[in-house]
Amino acid sequence: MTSIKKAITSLLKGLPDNITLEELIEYIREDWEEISKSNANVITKDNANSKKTQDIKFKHLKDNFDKIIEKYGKGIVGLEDNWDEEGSKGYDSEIWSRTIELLKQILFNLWDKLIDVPIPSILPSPDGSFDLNWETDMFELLVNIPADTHESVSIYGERIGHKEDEIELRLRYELAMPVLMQWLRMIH
Amino acid sequence: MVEDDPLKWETEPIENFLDAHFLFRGIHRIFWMNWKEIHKIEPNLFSTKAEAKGLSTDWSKYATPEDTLNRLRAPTLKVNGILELNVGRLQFTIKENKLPLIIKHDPIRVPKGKTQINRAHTLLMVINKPNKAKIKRCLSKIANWVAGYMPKS
Repeated sequence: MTSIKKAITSLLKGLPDNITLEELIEYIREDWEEISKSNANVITKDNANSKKTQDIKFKHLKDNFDKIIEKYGKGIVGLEDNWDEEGSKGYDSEIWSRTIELLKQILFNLWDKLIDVPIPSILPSPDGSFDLNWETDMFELLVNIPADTHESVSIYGERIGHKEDEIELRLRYELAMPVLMQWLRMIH
Repeated sequence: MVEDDPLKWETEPIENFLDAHFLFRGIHRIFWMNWKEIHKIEPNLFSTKAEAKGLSTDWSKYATPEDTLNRLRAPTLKVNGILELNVGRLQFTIKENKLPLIIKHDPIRVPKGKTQINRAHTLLMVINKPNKAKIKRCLSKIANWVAGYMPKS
């Protein structure tokens, strides 16, 4: 019984907290029969299970991406210039869309390759730009998408404990996606 | 007294900014209301409005966090929190990371529009075309909410 418990724990590890009950049931049902037959198989199946877990996790994230990021724009996107009556710049929905599109392209591509990069914080700056900010045990990365579409995207990233992998760039929006993907793939 | 006449306030040199001093800055809730964790300072606070000369702060030599809060349009912790940057740590960070930043005392001697006179006013100025992301990340690492002035979300 203990081995079965261990097997289930191993299987569920890494699944998103907010996975739906239906998704969870489907996932467990598919594997339950095999687990019950032979507990000894659990260890050798770890890699396959891990891949499967990742697949499900990333599918779940993709399916719920818009919903997950929605909270970051709530109450901010659409604010007009001088929203604070102190002359602050507003948050244009076009800049928000550019920010989210860039993020989506990066993450979906990485998730397709089973590279585990989480959704960052998406935050407004006083100059009307948006920041994408990752802080994980492995790396820190800040990407600033400017309010003026003619301005460059600013990038600063560090792989924890590997100063040689530091990235510090200003480049046009169109180049940000391939460069960031390359860097994130390299450090994983 | 000379000090009582704002028009005679001196612009003080960088040497007068001691390591133990602080720079205070009010932060509107729009910038922190969607943070994952309010205690963990995110980098999005450290940029200026496009037309601004630099990041406006108040120098602790002439201001308290209360003064900074009271100067804001909505002087309540439900709308604004007060952030502090220690001058010693700031100078060290600028040097260590070769950031293109300078601290410049910039007293406001004459009221202008909604801006009141303010002897503490100090700018954190960028001195060439910067990598904004690196500056924001470095500043976020050394900033804290002032004790008792963390926003009440």
